[in-house]
Amino acid sequence: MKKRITPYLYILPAVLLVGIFLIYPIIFNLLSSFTKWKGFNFGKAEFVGIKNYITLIKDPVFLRDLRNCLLFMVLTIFFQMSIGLILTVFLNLKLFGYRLMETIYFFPVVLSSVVVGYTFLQIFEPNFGTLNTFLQSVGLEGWKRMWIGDAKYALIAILIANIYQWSGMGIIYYRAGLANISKELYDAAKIDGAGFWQTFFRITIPLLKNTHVTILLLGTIGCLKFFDLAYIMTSGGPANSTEFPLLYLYRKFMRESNSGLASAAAIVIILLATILSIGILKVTGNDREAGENKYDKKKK
Amino acid sequence: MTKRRNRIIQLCLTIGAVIWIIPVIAAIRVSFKNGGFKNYTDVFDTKINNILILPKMISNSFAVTGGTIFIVMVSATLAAYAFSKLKFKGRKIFFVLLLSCYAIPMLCTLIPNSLLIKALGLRGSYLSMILLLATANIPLAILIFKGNFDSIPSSYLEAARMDGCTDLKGFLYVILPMSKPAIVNVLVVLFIQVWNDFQIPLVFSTNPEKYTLTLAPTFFGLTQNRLDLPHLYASIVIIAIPVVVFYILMQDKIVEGMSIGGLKE
Repeated sequence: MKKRITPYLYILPAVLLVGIFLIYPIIFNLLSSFTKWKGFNFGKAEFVGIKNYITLIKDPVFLRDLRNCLLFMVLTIFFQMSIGLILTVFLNLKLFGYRLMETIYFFPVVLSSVVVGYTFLQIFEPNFGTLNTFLQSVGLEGWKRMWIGDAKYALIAILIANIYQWSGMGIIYYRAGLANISKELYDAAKIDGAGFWQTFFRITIPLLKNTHVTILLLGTIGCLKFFDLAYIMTSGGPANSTEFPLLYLYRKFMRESNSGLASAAAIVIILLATILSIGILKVTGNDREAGENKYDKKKK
Repeated sequence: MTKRRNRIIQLCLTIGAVIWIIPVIAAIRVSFKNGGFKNYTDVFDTKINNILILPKMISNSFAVTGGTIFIVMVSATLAAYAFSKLKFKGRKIFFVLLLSCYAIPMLCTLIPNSLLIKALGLRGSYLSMILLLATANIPLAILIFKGNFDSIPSSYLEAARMDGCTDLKGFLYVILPMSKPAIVNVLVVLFIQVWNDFQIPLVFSTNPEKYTLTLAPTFFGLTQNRLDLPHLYASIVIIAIPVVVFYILMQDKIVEGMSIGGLKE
């Protein structure tokens, strides 16, 4: 009897926390997303069916937020992979000073997005920011822009900050992946007369498939979770041009206390996160999650 | 040929590294504008209700980070042990359920959790931030620990059981001591993630006396309602210092810990 209960006691703290602060809120969100509900008092909410969802998909701002998010996924992941992979391979040559360079490239990963956000805010500041000062000093005054204050460039400014913050993570993942490729393969390629770039495209890139999938998956989840940099650098402005789904949710609830609509937005984001994660794992045939890792199979 | 190629690569890496450093130098430069080092002492001397607010924020950050790490470590190691070494009904379902929560942004739970925290009487407390941060970090910690515990042969535990060891003792005296590297990895990654978190304090710490360090810029950025860049960037540099020192001391452990999070995904 005792034997049957104890395992549950071990998982109880984790299950309780996740159950109370994550799963219960999701169920609550699902219910409240079908109501017209302003502010905090849920007793005053009234059932309106799928009206919030209709408002949501008809709201051009929310659609633009989703588009921004998609754009960020594509570009952030692209740069994280390309910069990450190239830098990893370059650093792996262990040329003079590579340890110091690694330290520098990894460094933004440990910084809070608050630090990164404000730092880039200063770079893109129109009057005395680093970028405009630099353009002025090299005689490219015509290239000076408002950057953060300009709807055309603000999103790019945030994107650059995001790439700066997360490229190091790409190196970290690729470096770990590279360590798993046996050195003999490279030696054999060398004997067969394969050059540096040939080895790179024929061996390194294909054999890092699992790492590509990891970065794709984490990058996708990360972009859906994207909030901090946009909140700090532009708060979604100018004219909502740099808003993201989570900022939309935050604004609807905190500033406009439209709790029903915010709940619907939360459900849409959660659905997207789940569908995209499962989709990526299925499409890439990478079912390593869910306890099916190599150790488990060995045991059976 | 190889030599020339290497020289070009070296040059690319150096240019990249310089670009990578520019933002840092730019921020430090602004922090010394106008007042010089006085900007820093100003920030440290700022008082609210007779409390030196920056040291208070630092201690808040330590309290929240410490509390969160404690809860995550205890609950995640226990759960990972059960998922890895004990047999029970629904093991797989619970595991998948916990893990699938990793993809869910914590801000999506903003509304119900605000109500919940209020109902529990935890509004504006350390505990409210600790509980939510712990919840957000438990799934990944369980994943990493389970992978590690799985790699420890069950025969060790069986041998201990023969000697009359209970499950709990097996966990405490067999599994945990053999998992020291994994524990260190999770600890360092947790410290960075929780210390740097911005969203939970932004929403759940209601007054400046409970602000964690990541909220310092929003606080010091305005002096008498005017944008005050030198003091803002002085506070930015100050909040970066603890993680930077930690990073320089523990770089290898941090990089290793972060790469495990990716490999086990």
